[in-house]
Amino acid sequence: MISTVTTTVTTVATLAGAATLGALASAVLIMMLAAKEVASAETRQPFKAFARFLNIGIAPLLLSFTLIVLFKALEVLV
Amino acid sequence: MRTRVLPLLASYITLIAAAEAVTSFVNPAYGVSFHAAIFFSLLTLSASRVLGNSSSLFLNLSLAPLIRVVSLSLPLAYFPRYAWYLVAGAAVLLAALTLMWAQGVGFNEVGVNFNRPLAQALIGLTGAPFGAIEYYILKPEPLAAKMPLPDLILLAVALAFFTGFVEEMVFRGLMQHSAVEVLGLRDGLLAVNTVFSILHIGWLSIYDVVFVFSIGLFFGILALKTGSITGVSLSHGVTNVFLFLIMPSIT
Repeated sequence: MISTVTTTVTTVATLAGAATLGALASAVLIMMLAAKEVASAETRQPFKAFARFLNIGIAPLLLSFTLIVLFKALEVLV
Repeated sequence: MRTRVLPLLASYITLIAAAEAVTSFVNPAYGVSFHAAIFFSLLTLSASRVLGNSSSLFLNLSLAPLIRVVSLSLPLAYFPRYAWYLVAGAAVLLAALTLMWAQGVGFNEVGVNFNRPLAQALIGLTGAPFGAIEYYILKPEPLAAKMPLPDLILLAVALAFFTGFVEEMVFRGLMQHSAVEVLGLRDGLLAVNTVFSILHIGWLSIYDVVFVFSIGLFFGILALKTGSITGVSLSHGVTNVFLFLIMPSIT
């Protein structure tokens, strides 16, 4: 079950649920990075625009991924 | 062009509503996948330029499904509750800034300016009654019970900036700007505020969805009239400060 606090803040009730969503978002990030690589290789304008637009999703998901890795590493180390 | 854009926009808004319903009522993982697919589809449509200048409307709309993918993927459980706004707001702000960069849009174009400062300050004050009304609709848990005053002030500032400014920049600054340009005043305002209220389905309160839609219209009109999102950002922030901090501690 999710809980909405504001439009931008929504969280899941359990840590297990959060881990699943974190993994899913990481998969989405990998797909975006792969799509960006493929689109960047093309010279046609729509592909170049697509590669540029993908940064809109890549930037926040990269932040999310970094935080997930950081907290997982701290969990192991501490 | 407008006759082609409106049905397509309505279809995407319906899809976003369906994805939000799946997220809230069925399974958040399915909902996130659904939102991610809509996001990819909107990016592809915008990049193809088949809709000419209307493409920017669909690119700006892509922030709606992205907000949900990002907010649910963040490891918020590791943070104290008062830091959630900072973390989630920073991620959404990053997406909004990247979108502005991708389109070559400046801050003034999305209404980040200090036009008519007195009017903006007065608009900001409307947040207090809005927060009180929304408190009676939602009755949320107190966000910061027994928190020392300096921490409480910091939390209020973070809450006001990261929920008020960031959300207004996304909905009124970016989405509404292009929606009104493409669809005209009435349809543009209705479309953006439908999306804004859809993202509040998670509260599971129809009254709140209606309330948020009305407030969104009010904010939208004021942002258009003043050419700035400063006042409405302030009002939105004050609404949330009253809703989560002030009202729960005085009632």
